[in-house]
Amino acid sequence: MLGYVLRRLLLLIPILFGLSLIVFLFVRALPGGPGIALLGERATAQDLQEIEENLGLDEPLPVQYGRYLKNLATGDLGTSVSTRRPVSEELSRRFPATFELAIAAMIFAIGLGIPLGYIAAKRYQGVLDNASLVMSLIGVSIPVFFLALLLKYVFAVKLGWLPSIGRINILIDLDHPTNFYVLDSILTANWEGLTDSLKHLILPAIALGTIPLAIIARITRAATLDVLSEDYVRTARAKGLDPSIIGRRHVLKNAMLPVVTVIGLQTGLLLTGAILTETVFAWPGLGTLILNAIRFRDYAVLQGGILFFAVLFVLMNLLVDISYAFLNPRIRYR
Amino acid sequence: MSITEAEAAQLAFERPSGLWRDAFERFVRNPAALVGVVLVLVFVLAAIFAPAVAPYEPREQVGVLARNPAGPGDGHIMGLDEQGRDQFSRIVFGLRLSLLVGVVSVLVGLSFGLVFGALAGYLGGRIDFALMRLMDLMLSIPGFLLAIGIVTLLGPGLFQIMFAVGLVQVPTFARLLRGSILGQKEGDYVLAARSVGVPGRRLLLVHILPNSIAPVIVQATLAMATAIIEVAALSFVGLGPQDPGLPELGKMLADNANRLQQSAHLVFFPGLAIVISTLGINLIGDGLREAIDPKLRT
Amino acid sequence: MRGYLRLSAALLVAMLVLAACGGDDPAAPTDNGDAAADATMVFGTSADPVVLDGALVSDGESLRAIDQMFEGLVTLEPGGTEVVPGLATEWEISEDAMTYTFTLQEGVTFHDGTDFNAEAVCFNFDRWYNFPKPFQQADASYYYQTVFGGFKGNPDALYDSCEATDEHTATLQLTRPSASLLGALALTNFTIASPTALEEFGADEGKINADSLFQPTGTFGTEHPIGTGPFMFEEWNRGESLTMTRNPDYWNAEDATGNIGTLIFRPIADGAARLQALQSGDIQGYDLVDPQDFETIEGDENFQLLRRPAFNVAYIGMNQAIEPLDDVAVRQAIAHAVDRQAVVDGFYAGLGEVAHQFMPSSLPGYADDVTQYEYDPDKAKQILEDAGYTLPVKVDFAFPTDVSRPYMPDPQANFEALVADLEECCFEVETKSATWSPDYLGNVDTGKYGLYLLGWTGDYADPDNFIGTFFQTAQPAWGFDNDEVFGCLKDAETESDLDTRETMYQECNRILMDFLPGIPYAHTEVGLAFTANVEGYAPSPVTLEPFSIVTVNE
Repeated sequence: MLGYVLRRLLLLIPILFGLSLIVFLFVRALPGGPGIALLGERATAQDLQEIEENLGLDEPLPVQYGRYLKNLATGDLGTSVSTRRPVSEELSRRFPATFELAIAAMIFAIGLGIPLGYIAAKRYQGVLDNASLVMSLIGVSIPVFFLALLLKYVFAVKLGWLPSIGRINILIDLDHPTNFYVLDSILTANWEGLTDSLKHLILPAIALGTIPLAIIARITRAATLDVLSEDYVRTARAKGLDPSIIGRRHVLKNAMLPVVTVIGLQTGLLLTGAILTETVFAWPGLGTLILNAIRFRDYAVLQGGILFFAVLFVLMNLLVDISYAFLNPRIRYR
Repeated sequence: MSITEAEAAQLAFERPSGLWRDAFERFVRNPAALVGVVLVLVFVLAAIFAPAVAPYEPREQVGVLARNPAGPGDGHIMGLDEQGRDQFSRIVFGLRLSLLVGVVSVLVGLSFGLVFGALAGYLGGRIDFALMRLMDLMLSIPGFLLAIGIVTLLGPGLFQIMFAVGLVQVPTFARLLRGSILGQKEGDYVLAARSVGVPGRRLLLVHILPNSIAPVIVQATLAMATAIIEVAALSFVGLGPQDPGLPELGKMLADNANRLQQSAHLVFFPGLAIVISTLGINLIGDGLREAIDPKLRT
Repeated sequence: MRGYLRLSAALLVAMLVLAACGGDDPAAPTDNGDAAADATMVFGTSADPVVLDGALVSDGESLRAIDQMFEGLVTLEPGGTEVVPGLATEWEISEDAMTYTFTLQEGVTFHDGTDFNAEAVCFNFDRWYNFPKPFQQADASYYYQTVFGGFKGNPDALYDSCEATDEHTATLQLTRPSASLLGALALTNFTIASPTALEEFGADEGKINADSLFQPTGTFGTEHPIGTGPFMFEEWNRGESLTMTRNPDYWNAEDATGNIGTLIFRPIADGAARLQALQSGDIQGYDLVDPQDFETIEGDENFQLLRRPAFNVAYIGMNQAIEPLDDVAVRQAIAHAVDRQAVVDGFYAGLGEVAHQFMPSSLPGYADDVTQYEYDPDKAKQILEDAGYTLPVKVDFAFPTDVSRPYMPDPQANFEALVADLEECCFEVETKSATWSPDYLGNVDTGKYGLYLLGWTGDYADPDNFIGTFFQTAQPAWGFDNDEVFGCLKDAETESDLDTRETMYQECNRILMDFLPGIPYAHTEVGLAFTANVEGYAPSPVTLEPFSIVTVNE
């Protein structure tokens, strides 16, 4: 087991290097420069020229890459064009927002998805099963930004039940030791902050988590069905074991294997879904950061953001692989 | 391998067409899949005969320029947009575009993916290793982000996003085909055929590939649905077609997202069109999957 | 599994209960609007400020925030463009227009308690003049360069010296006469900051990084923006909120008639989201209302719509370096082929009017008798045919994506309508687009487009700020070299007698509208939305809008 983990960790290094190279080349290949971003209509051709002259692009590519790697090692990811702040500061400021949203979405997706899939499997071909299948299919057929817009329109604008934008009401005085608003509220015993930040989380989390929910429900159903038909389950039932014990002890644990894999794979979906969902809800996270970076050609931020997402994704996959190996001993000896 | 699988393998060897006929019969008996076929057929027909179905041209101005355009009614069943164009017509042409986009993207992904997958699966060894590491690297960046990266590099535009979305699908197809080929390579019927002296190339083309292709067809169908949504998403973030009059569904959604309160019909109908067309394709894909391998029962 | 289901059900119920608890609204200010100035106001802006140092910014949101905390020697009357006393009570301009003597207000202190006096004024002027190299880059100090021409060592520099002749008298010495400096000094970029704070918090520390980006590294502009204004800096939570509190020792309390004790700017990039925030009570007002939201706001008795007077121009730019735009006949034909009224009626929500020259009518120098180009596609065809062109004439036309400007709220809508007009008449249009910044602007500025959509919002009340900026020198965006135009504008700018100046600019406008380097098509008011209980906000043409005079009633 340890050997497997170590091997995977070692593989991580070339992958990370490869990623950094890809992102570096990608950004260098992009056209255009920042400079006049803030001047808007006031920029003149002369200004553009002056700014271009100051760009450090005359060094040979390997030297630039070396400098880029050195900066990466020290955590210097460049400066944002629109805010003039270090990119690392922007990333660390916005990461908790996206992470909190992603966790909320996963809790929603797993919390509803697994029981739904399980029940659907137990009542195979029943009304609930077919209904859940249809809902799942619709769930994966809906673009996440359309769903987000619909949810916002119905629940925030028309009905007014939930807030439409942001993470919390500005006027609530909340200290931010961790910048995870829900956690902060709990840590500082701020009841108002807790309810308000949870209210703000509901719609974006549902929007972001619906597609993973649909997929998790289906996979759980499939995995459960598979296991239910396995010989050893039939044997246990024939022996007279209580069905609920069979459910918990045997079926669920073995069904979890593909489910865990899928959950891990959903991280990618979550990260990229966040980009689209955050825009709709003006959620100040990494998604809106990357989107604005694309729009305004804020290359330092784009580079840092993509690298960050990719590294996160790779680590998440690694975690999934390791837990998969943990759950299924046969994999380790590959 | 279980007894049933061995039997199936033998049957496949003896009468490869039998597998397909069984699959077809199972598919036809699946109500959900049939619904999907109906939906997609409607859209495909509407797309092919778009000029006849749509009452107006998609770029034709039939009403006034208005910041709060009229909703459904008065001869326009889906209302007008802010340039005074009939939305129903635009959606019909938009569906045509989306279906085209879906097909082209998947073709791009399929062609590269199949070539890589077949080479890796059949040739094995170092080629397999190199190709799979390349696929791993592509997969290490989340799909949408990778597509964004490719489009940012190529510049925005309809063809660019089709290509990007297709490219993102390549690792999936490659892996799928490779896995399928690997599985088939070990099959008894293959060993049997080889022991009798059937040459490698014939083996690959006549026996292995047709049996491996089934899951790929399923994946291609599902990939089409994903492609339509991803193209819409890329348009939503502004990386899509730059022609302002083009009736691309994702672009229509994006352009009107800030009119949601006053002119919800401009957001609702394009979105609904995307959902229904994607749903149809997903239903077909699901039906195919169940038809081809009933053991999966997903 | 049953236990798990019970937990899920409980969570669901909990979520619904939370959602139901939407009644209480902490956003609504609970002040009762009497003498106690403790109302809270949350205002929705379109973006976060960049830095809170007036000398280093050119974006509207930084300027808006700085306006609340800093003041200059002179300012503008609320809602107008007339120069009125600010930190200076009176001034004297010498005969040769090279010496400006300001008598300063007494008894004023900065937010950090230090005294405001002539020394502080001169400290600020000297600071700007002596900016280190990185600060001289265009994207750092645009306005200083535009107004003063250059920094120390630059022969074009207008500034010579500043002397504190006594504690409350500051004398500015210039290198050459200037008739328009006074108006320019009302700009937010020339507000006076506390010298102590400037020094202590490294306001002059900055560098240009490898991406050619100017980056201030001190904390003056991010944590200690200390001025003399009616509001003081409290906290800046980047991307989320900028909080300011009322200055209890404000010297001009009698003019600060409002009751806002806590002022919070909240950046919300999307216009529709700003409206939704207003409707849900998260904010009590916001700027840059989308035209399609006007009816919603005006139709709701809980809200009110205010209008900022038109001080901008939207135009179709024409690059004469690209054929056939160098032919005035083609330019005239384009002007006749487009239905500007339809665009203004369709996409400006009644706040726009068709523009007939490159500056708004409120400015001196506006000429009522310039050549008009009415919508007449047949006439356009005729002009082209007479000039020997075969129809359709090919042109390329570009518009910016991902942006909304006050003078052009929906570029794509304008673009599509204009292109449709051109193609219906006599042109074949190749459409182009790019994201606003930096691509579109860069392309426009380097002359890559033939026709393009652009505009301008005025900074100060002088024609030079409009037509001088556009046409006084040769620029790739316009692609022409016309000495008559250049000469007229240069002469008018340097003319110190105000009446003569006005006449000269009128003549320049006539020349311009005959030469037709571009087609102005709209001036527009900009919409601001507030809850019905907000009083006293005075929209200003140059967006100099103090919140110190705003009252939030119960």
